[in-house]
Amino acid sequence: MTTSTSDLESFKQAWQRLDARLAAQQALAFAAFRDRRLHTLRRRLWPLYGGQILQALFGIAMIVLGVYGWRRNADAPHLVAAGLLVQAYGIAALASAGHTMQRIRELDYAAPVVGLQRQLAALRAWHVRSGVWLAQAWWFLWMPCVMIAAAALGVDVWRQAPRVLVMGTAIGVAGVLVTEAAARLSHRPRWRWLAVLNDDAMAGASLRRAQAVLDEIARFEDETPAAEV
Amino acid sequence: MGIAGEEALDAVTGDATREAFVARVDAHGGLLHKVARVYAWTAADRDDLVQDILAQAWRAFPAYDATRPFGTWLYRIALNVAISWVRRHVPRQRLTVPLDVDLHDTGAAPLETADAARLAALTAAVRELPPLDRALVLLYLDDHGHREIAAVLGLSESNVATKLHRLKRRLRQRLEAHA
Repeated sequence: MTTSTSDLESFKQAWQRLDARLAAQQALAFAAFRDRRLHTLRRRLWPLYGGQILQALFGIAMIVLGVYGWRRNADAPHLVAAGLLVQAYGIAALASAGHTMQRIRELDYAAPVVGLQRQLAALRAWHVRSGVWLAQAWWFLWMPCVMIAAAALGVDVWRQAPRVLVMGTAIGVAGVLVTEAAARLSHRPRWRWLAVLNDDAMAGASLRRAQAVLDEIARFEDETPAAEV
Repeated sequence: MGIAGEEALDAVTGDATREAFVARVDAHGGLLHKVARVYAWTAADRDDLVQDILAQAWRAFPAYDATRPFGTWLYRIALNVAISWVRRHVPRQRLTVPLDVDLHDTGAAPLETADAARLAALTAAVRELPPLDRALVLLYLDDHGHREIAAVLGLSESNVATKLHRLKRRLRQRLEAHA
């Protein structure tokens, strides 16, 4: 069968005749409005915020731990520094969650499709990147956390077991360097297998997907014939 | 306003607002289900997507400017939600065998055989397109002009014309391949 322009028109007309058929289904979709169960509709939007609320709570917990660390040990400069580091991390986690939630709230789904999809993809890319930074910090952050927790039990890790911190720092530096190197090498064909590890450890796949969507939108906006997708 | 605040607003929102919203959406026939049809493959997913669209539309309704066409407003929301939905669900959809909606959907009267065959081929061909192209084709199939398509998608009219020309050619090729 060859499909001419007139045939395409007949497909189009068949599509438009669907309206009457689908109107019956549409009536069923309004059950929440008829039964005044609008809260069930609202709850469909919660997953957008769920992860951010958890991150914000985690940030608050880290701030509390950090403040506890430096206030309780004001006479020990290394514990004050540990507390301030943990507090700073908590503020960063909280600020990142707040920023993401604000950007989610500002999304206007009634905006033109290309603009909103670009906003969503940029938000996704930001969300993944900030997640990677917050996760990478744990190569080192576990040490001040352990120092504060140990101090609460009467153990000063800095003075009594400095080797733990020296080794922890060395492992942290090595960890960051290896992760970064893996991220760079995984772009080369010979090191493709590293991409799998990198994707699992650093959300590389999510970031690539977000970037791919941004590229797709840019191509879609391009008016030149070469932009055909 | 947070979600809790919005829920409180729902509680005090009058029946008149709810009825006005339902009436306006209802007046656009099967728009939501048509969008769902090309972005979600199973009946359960389509129902889920329609509810997501309604949730976003209801959320945005207080800001709707009544001097502007409701259809354009609703189409933007429906397409934005559907494209976001499909990006989240692509891995699952890849593992799903789509049902023939005209055989499996219930309630409505059966379609003419010729129409059913055309719709099955058309739906299959449209679903193979990238999400943004699908939006453009959907608006074309619903007989919207270049200006309105441009307004919904946020493109220039000339871009819409160029893209549509290429997409129609591509659609014809796909329909031939499906035949």
